[in-house]
Amino acid sequence: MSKTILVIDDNKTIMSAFRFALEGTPYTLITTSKGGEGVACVRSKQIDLIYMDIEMEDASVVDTLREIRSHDKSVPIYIITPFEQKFMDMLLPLKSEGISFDLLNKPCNIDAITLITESVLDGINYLKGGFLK
Amino acid sequence: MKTLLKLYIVGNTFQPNHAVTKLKDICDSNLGSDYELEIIDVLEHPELAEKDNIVVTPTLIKMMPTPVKILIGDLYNAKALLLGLEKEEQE
Repeated sequence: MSKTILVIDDNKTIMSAFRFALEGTPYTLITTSKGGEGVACVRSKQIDLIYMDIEMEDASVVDTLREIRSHDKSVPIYIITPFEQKFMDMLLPLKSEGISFDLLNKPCNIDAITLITESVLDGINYLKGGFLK
Repeated sequence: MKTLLKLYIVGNTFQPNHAVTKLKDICDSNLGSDYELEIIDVLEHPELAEKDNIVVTPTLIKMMPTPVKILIGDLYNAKALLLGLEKEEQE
């Protein structure tokens, strides 16, 4: 059974990058621009990996993450965000609540999406310094 | 030469304490006391992650000895980790 990846993002450029990177791979790709739809998807399907933009049009990333984690405590979740303090400050409440997630630096390129997805779903990758950026 | 490692994580990365402990155990078993592991929480220090061109958490960087190597994915798998660090697993 193929592994399923959920991408929640309303940015068309980023969504295109995920489609380009992951379509045609053994993974099943589900996309939505709305946090609420992403939560509904997690509640109704087996999801193996989630990518989520830090800014969504219909919901806050913090609330969406809380709802997903209330249903699934173990699925790997990557928040797509610039590594800037103002965005990290948005996520700090989750740290104090013990809600787990990881970060993917924004903007992200197609090679990064592919390598990170394979590394998370299939094991470790070894990369030479600076390859991803 | 001492092995210098930097681990970039989010404070609540999957079972963080367990994961970091496991990574330290792997290093202790295979590198002895001949290594230093610096752990950086990206939520607290995003500027350091930017400076090191970190793309994703968790990321482990072997700073020394050169060449610098970057590992992502399952960093807590001993065989894979040591393969990346070019070390042989101790029996």
